[in-house]
Amino acid sequence: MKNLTYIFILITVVLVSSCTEVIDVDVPENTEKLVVEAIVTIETDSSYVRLTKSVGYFDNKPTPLVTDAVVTINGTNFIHQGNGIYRPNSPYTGIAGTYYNLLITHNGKQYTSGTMLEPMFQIDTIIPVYREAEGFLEEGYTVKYVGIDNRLPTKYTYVRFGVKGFDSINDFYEDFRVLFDNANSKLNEPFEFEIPFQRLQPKDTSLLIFRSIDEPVFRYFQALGNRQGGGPFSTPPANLPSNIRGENVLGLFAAYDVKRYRTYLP
Amino acid sequence: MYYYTFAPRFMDCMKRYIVLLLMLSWYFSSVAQTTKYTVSGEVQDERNGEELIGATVYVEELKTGVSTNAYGYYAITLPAGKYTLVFSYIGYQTQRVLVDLSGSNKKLIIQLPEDKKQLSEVVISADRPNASNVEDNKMSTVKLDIKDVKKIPILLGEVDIIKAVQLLPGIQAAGDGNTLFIVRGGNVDHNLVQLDEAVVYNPSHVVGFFSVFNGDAIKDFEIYKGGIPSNYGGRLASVLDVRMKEGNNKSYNVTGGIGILSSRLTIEGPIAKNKSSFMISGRRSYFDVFFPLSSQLKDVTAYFGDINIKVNFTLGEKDKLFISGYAGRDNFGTGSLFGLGWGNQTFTVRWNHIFNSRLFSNTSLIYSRYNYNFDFNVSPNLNLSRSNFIKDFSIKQDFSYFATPKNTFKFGLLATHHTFSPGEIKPITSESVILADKLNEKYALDYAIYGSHSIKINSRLTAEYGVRISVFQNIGKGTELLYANDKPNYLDNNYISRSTIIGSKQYGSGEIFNTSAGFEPRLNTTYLLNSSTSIKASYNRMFQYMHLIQPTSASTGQEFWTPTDRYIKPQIADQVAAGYFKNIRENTIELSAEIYYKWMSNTVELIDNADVQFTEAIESEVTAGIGRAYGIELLARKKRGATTGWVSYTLSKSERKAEGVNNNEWYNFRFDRRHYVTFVLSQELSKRISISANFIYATGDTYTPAVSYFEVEGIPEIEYGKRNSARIPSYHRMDMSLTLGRKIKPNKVYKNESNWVFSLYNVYGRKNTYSIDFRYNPETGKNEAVKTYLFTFVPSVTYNFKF
Repeated sequence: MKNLTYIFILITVVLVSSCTEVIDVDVPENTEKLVVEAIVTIETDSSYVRLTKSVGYFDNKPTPLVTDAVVTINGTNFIHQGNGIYRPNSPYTGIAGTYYNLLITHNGKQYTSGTMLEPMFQIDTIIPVYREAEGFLEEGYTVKYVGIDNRLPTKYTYVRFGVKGFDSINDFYEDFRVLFDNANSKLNEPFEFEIPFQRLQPKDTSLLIFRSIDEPVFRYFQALGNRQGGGPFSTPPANLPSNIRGENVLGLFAAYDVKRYRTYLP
Repeated sequence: MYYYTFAPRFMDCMKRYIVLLLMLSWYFSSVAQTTKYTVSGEVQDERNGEELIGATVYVEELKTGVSTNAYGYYAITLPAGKYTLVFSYIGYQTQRVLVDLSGSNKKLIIQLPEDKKQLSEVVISADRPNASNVEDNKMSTVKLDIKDVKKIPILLGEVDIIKAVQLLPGIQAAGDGNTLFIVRGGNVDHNLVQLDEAVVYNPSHVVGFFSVFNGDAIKDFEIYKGGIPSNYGGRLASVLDVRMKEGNNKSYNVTGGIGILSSRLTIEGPIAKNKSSFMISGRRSYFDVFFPLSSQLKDVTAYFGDINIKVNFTLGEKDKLFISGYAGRDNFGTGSLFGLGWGNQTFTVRWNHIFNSRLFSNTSLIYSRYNYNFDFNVSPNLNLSRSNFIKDFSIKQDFSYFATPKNTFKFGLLATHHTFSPGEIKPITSESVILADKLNEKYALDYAIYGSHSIKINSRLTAEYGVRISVFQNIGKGTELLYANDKPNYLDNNYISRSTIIGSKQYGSGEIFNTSAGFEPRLNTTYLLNSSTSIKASYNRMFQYMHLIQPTSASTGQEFWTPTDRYIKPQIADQVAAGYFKNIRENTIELSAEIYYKWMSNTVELIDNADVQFTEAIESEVTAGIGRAYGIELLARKKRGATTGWVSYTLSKSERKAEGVNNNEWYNFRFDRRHYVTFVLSQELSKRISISANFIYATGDTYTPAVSYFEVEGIPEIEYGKRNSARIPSYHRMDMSLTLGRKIKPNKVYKNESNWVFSLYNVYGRKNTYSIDFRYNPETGKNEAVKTYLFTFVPSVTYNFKF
């Protein structure tokens, strides 16, 4: 069974009636950095690399696109297709259990990264469960996902889910993400995951995506989650731990094994 | 580089200590050869028999004296003859007593009347206040009279000793309205907070806005910022030593107060008149009483409460027994959705024994516990209760040996068993997807032996030198995780990465598996330039074996303590300080200027994006740093007259440096404040009416600024600049209060007392910035900086009574 180590939605505990106000502050001058968003997944043609640049915090302009970089992943060329997005020219599918190396050359500088495409386990039972109204949750259904986690211990799972209102072509998510590791899991015993913080009503559809990720990617999303909310009751600010190597670079290279489960409540 | 490996260094320390003991025993045998008599006893408050701590006993003929110890006991050994002893204490009338020491030892219990009261017949008063500020061989220490503390206007009218000391130089609040404090650039966990000798691990209520110390239950407190004597140890920056009232042993008293936030009641009285007494004091907030009236708040729980109980018994001429306890609780929550709570419990049994009039012994058995819990109950399938605690059992033996008026020795030992439970998770319902889990409990033994010698070298020069040897051991049952390259984390690609755990080592129950030790020399010296001027210097080295891990910027109670072990080394601080002290206007105005420099090593710093919420591998989430803090503190204080108060100014700097943090460069400590100015003023307008005001100005705290904006997976992200390199706007605030006593008719004696206290916190309603955060505003599509502020204008009213 799993140890739920992080829940993205922060129930911010504000015990005093604190007040906030938008203010003007000076921020240090920005040194433009390359921002890498590189994803390899087992879903065909879903792998891509997006290259942009960071902009001064209060510049309030769109992040500039980088369109002239040379990008390869495990020797496959990713070609710029517009909007800063690079994709392979031929159909491309990530393979579970493979280690991927990213190489970017831009303005004569090289940026590298590597990530493991960890296999995700299969969910084999999906059960809608009726729940009474509780706390801020209305009465309705939640969905329980059951499977056997046959991965080695200390594997990481990243779950995103959406309920209602998303169209079938572009999956739309509520910004609900859950991260957990299976450090305390018992191998080959059923694992159950239930959608938290959300109740479904009849005729709703839920989409739930399980992804297996490696530790650096887990650390990146964990830091991102800890930052959500801000304020005195969150963790002290710190830069997200990028797994991209090189000078003046930010961002992430992640490889996902993806399992999607769409559930329609009659 | 400061870290002591046990075997060779510890033996070295032991040798030094043995030499010191030999010197002491030689000294004892040499003084024993002359024929002398001892006058000893206690100095007490006349009204209630409470012992006065640190009262001065001065031998006029010899121009020398001693102070009462922490139990109000004193002894002076003098050649046969007649002497005039002068007993004095802040806020009390000085008394002179003629003592005939020809032929036998004398026991003398002196009861000092409060200032401005009629004197009893046998004694003659000297109205001139004493010059303890100049003469006492103590620097960097602060002692406020609890009566003065009660005059200071405070947030929501709760009398609070910690808030009061935060108005003194070198001691500052860790955030607006916070009782957690920092001393001379140290961390909030670098302060040893003790209540009747028991460590109070979290001295705050309501996420830090009130202290656990109930003003009505406190007799005396003192805070040491430097020159810390060898009988204290275990924290780097300061000692806040708080003593509970013993209880009036003459008559029954009820004291209380009704405030808008909370109320308190204290009952004290004799169990056997003049021999034993009790005190019981309780407080509870009751703003939650009104919650059911509001539809929004009806499910909300929010209260704090605490209770202090103390009894003492005089068991014959030579023995006294004290039993005291404290229990406090905070609970907050909304319905069944979430709740959090924490509490301290302490229990102390003390036995004072007078072996002979010169050798005073105190034996204490101490228990202390702090626990925290957080309940989270979203749905039947997602709920958990998380908790942690720390628990100590200690035994302590202290001796005071009043050898001669010029020589006093203190020595003793302390042994503590600590239990750390860093975390436990339990599902609230059986259907919860959260599984029960518990981090390994950790156990440690903590010993110290100490000795010090106070010596008046000549009429001008006084010194107290001492040493404390501390030992800290991890004891089984325990587990040590083993990491690749024997390092829990390492620097890679400019980010700290956690090392792979390659195994673990198990230790059986009672097995000692890691030992650290520290040699901690201490020194205080005072040189009198003239009767109203002195210079003082001090040095102390402190070892800290317990470290507070605080996951969030503000204290929410969920921080927890972790012991020194194989990976986390003891924190060490060395501090030197020097000061100039002058009294003017017949000692009614005290002036002081102090300068200090403090080096810290092995400070425990969280790595960037540390995940300390529930992990066995806590050592992977911290890194050892170094620190330096220095500053100048100026204070002018008037203690007597219709107008009392002080003005203080602090100029200071505090920095840290740690591998993998801020590109390995020095960075500002979070509460580094360059300037800190306070004014505290209390004016008695008439016998009935007094007004008080205080004002604070402080350079703004530091924060880490955003530098750039970028996007990954459509999520707007922030790139931060150098850690703590920017400053929030400066902090300033004025508070005022008006105390209105009952109408007093002349020539009538009143047994009951009562008053109304009206106070205003932050009179001009400044929105002092608590923190600055950066966020993307989806409505405007722009980035913005947001300041959080907590308290603007907060009025309160309290009715106090005593009968």
